[in-house]
Amino acid sequence: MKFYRDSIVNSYAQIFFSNHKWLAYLLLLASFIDPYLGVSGLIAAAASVFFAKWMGFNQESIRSGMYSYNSILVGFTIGVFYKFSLPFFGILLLASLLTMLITVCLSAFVAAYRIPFLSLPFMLGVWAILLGARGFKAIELSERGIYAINDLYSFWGPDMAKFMQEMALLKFPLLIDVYLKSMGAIFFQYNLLTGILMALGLLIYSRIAFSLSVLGFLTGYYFVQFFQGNMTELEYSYIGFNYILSSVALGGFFMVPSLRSYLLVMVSAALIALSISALGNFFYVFQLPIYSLPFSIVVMLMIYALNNRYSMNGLHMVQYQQYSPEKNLYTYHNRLERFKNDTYFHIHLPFYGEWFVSQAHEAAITHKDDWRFAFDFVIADETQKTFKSPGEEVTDFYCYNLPVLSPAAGYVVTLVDGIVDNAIGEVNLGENWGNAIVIKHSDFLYSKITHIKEASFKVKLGDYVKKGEVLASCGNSGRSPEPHIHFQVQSTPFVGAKTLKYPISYYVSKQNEKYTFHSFDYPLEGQTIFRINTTTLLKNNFDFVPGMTMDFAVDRDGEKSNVKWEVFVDSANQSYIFCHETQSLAYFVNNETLHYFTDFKGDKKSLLYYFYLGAHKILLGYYYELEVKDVLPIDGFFTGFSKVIQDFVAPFGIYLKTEYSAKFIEIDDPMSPSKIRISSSALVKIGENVKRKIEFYFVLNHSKNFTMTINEGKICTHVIRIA
Amino acid sequence: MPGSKIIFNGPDKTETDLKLAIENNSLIHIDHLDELYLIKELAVEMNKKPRVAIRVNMDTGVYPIWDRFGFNYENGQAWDAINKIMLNDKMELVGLHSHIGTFMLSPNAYGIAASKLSDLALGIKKKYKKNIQYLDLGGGFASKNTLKGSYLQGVDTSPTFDQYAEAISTAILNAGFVEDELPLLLLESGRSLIDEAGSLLGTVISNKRLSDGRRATIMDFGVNILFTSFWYDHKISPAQDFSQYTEDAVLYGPLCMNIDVIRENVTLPPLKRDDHVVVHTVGAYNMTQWMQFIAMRPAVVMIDMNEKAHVIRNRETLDSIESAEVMPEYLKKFKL
Ligand SMILES: Cc1ncc(COP(=O)(O)O)c(C=O)c1O
Repeated sequence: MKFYRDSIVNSYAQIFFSNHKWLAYLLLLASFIDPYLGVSGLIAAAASVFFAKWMGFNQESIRSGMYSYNSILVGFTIGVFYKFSLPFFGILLLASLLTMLITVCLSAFVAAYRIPFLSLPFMLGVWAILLGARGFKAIELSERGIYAINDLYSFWGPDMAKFMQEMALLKFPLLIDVYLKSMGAIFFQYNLLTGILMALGLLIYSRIAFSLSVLGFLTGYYFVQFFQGNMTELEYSYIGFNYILSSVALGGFFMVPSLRSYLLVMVSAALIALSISALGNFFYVFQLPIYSLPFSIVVMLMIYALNNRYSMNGLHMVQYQQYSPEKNLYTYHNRLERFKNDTYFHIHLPFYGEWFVSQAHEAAITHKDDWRFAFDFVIADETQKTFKSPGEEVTDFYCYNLPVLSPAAGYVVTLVDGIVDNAIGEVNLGENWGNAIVIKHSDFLYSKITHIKEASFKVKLGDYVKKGEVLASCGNSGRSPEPHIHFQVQSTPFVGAKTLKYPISYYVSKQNEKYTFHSFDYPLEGQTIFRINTTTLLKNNFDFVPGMTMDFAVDRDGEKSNVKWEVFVDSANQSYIFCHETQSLAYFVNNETLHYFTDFKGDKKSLLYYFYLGAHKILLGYYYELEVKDVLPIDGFFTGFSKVIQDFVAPFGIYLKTEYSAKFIEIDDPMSPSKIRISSSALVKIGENVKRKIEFYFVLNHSKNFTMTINEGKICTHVIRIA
Repeated sequence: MPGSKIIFNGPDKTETDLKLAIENNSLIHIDHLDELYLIKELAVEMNKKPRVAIRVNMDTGVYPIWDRFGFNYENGQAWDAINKIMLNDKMELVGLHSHIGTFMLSPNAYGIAASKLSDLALGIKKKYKKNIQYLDLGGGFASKNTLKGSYLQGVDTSPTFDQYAEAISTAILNAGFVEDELPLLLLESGRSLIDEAGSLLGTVISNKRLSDGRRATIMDFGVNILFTSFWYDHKISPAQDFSQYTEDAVLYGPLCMNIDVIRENVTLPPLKRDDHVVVHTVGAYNMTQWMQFIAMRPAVVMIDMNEKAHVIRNRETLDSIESAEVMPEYLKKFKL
């Protein structure tokens, strides 16, 4: 039953590319302003869902409403055209089935081209019925349009009829009037009340979608006026909504809302105006309506074209659909800020312990031109000397003969050996790279380490090496006046290949005993850096494996409760923690170096949401006072009035800033720790004005029964994992 | 120093000692089964899970094997002890320890020890899914002293730290640990750390000719103060101007026993009464083993990094001995 309810309700929201419950119910309500239409639409939705389920189509697709929203629109059309009678219901059910089938076929067909099918199934369905019905006498055309008030009277009683009559007399400014009626026209109801309810729904669902609808509509309206198009058609028929739907679709749903997407909306509105005229004239020949056809065609055209660009030019497609322009926008910015430098493949530093960057990218001595994205590493003491006295032999140099590690997993594709170490101060320009190794990590991704000590290789050509495996020892062969290693990423397997700019995934730099965490960053000359050594205690506490359950005892200012979570992994192989009670999900990644959350769905008051905030990004290696920073998605974290304003202007700039920070504050014994304390905070601010701030303290121990203390304002919550 | 940072090692651990160690979460290096059983009992009694390691002895190619300490690797005692700890679950096995000998002139022996400990650690990982957190390879690294009977000078024969480091780290890196699970390496270098830091200043008491005509010089320090002269041919140099003429001599201490020989044969310029000498490299195992026999023990002076001298142990007086003595009441009245 819940399945049917969800699927039907979602079908309504889908008309506006949403899965917003409030919007759905308001749309459902609005459809019943004209009861005949309301009933036809609902029957069509229910019938499509039922057929789809019965025929065994994908459950999740059915539930999302994507297979049934076109049927609703077909249902409305049939409700408008034909008289209520037994054959009417027959044709309604048939039309729903047909539209659903067209939807399924079309969705499979257009998916290959990465374009949406929009309301094309609706148009195909409507035409099929309208043309087909001409051959069946039992299906009578209705004359209801003329007696609309009568219908209202008989259905909703005198008060409603009176109210509607008064509404009809209301004098809104022309533009608003036409806008609202065009809105209502999506549901084939040319009245103000329906329009108002729908516009309200749209506003509640999304400020961006609402402003886009206004922008698109106004552009279309003035375009038609300026080019002296058919104003009567725009003002008095079911056509103006094409501007509204296309602007919401392009400006905020398929594209990430931005100044450019708003401009795109304006251009598209002009195209819509043109295609209304073009398609109208064409289909007039067949006596067929075009309804939302201009919208579908223009949007499909745009999406297909935009998908085939070489450069985004500030106009980004939504990659991961969240069914809300706001969410699409905030998520886009959040991901950009969090992961913009992230590379899919992780490259690590090729050594143990603390090394010193003697030459970084684009350096003066040898890292120039085609070789500008390389690093030279040595070991230096407190006085930045790289050797112990007298420094005349290679063996006096701290880094000499130390292990060189594989920066990531891959195959050894090139190996040069047999070149002797230079005496200190001399260089071998003939074999300038000296002994070298190139590892292939994937197509077009190779890493190279050179100046290796002769005969120190522990691997052979063709070997598969794991991340961190010892490859050889640091030497002084090639163009190397003193022992060091040269490290670079490149896109071909050759020793002399040019460099590729590629960040080091995770490392720590150390200055004056202070640690700084770097992710997907480029080490700088003069930095002392090292790979991250993970701490078992941290790893164990954040080891959330699928199937595992966690129980917590919560004490919120004396109010006690218990919470249970379970860890799952979805079909896209994404792990998430699930809270049964609140049906909330927190998606996370654990890549052995970091634990971090990527997404949250569900109850923003749940403990899981707080955990999602507090443990947003945790480094799995302990370094005293090391701080890990991040940003949080604003959506749901802050809901004040300034958020509403922010929504309206978000496409042009985000002034509500979020910050996350986690810091290690205590370890009882660095060698075999049994207790680690971490403090973290999540906040949102405008300028320097903090609008919301939550502080967290974690105490981790061996039994994995960690505690979390949450402080927000005066409210303090203690959480202990009990199992 | 917090107890949790102390490693408690050695064959002689009393029940009271162990309780104190467990109470303070110290790391206990178990030497024998009796100790293992006792710790197990105490763990139950105190309701604590002591952190332990076992000491392992093994054949490293250097003889004699110090197999009197810990559990033997080759004959399976070590595994037996490990199983007893792991299966019982009353203790947490955090490390493995070996101390293969002292003044070890072979870096390779450490390589073998490191491989064998690594092998145990990887075996534990495989069998019990437990990561061993540290390998403690003990001490025993040679200082620059010259062992008795050695033909060459210690400065030339003793391996460098780099050579030891090479042998140990190569063995551990090649053992097959996953990068993230490499154990921490602990060393307990004693002698090599402090031997060179200590020198003994002494004075000539007298010269004499022995019956066979050899020259003998008697110093004011002997094996009572310089215990390590049983092991080393200590380097000794005069502390004032001396002539280029040298002569072989025997250096004796002041004791009334024939064993009190500091150097059986040393080439020195002639020294006269009240001349001073410096005995080099005496920082290790002397102040821990010296005794008040015939003479009191001298003061200890530290020269700091800024070349300033500080007395860090006073010269002993009669009171140093008497203060610890207790006279039975009835003897107090005894009249000579
Ligand atoms: C267990 C243990 N570790 C370390 C040492 C120090 O040895 P060394 O002074 O030879 O470095 C000793 C000395 O006997 C010892 O017994």
